Amino acid sequence: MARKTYESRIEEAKKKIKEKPTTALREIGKLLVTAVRKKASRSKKSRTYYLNGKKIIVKPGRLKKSVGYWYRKKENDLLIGSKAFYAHFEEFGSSKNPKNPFLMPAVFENKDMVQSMIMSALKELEKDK
Amino acid sequence: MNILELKKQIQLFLKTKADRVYFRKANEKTAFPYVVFNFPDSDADFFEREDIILEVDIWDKSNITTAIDTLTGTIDGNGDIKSPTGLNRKSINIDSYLRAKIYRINRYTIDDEEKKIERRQLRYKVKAYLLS
Repeated sequence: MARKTYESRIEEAKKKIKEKPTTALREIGKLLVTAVRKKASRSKKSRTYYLNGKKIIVKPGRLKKSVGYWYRKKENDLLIGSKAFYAHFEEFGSSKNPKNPFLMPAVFENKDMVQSMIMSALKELEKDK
Repeated sequence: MNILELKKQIQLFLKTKADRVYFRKANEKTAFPYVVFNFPDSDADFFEREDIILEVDIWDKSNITTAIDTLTGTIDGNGDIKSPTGLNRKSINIDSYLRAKIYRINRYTIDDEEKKIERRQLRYKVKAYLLS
């Protein structure tokens, strides 16, 4: 089976939002996670971080795997982030490691896509009324 | 847009607030506290206007956070529309060439790998208008 491209994922998400507009945030979450994973660097070697004086060795690809989205039903919002303890060292840099932002640039690059999807979801919801 | 003049103006202003100010990177042996500023991104989708992101990092190595928070507050200022004391809402005019207004987007407290290092980040949007 052919691998899905990012564009085909967007089309798929648009279709799903049209069918069920209440799932818009979840679909946007899935797409943004794909975009953030693309941006997250995968180092060739294991990297060393220091946390509270402790030396921690991180295997390549851990950051990519740790990216996720959380749709919170109660608050009705969407969180995009990473569970890796060193994610903010990558995003903002630290005194020992240079920054390599992956989260904010990916989200800002897809700002228009997010806005258009929310618009289409709102239009669909308006139709149903 | 050539941001050299803008960089100079911001550096001059920051030097009135902090002793050690660097662009992009500080020396490894620099004494704390110090300030590093950078323009990581920009958006030129507007007519005769460019939105430039300005990041100001304030670094300190101390167990007490009062000094770094005071410095951060002085750099950011009161945010007054007419007479701002800091970067927030500051206007920059570069003779008949560029007008810029700075707006704060956010402020962050960022943990560091080294426990003793304290870091604050102020993120601004510089709306720069080219005069023709």
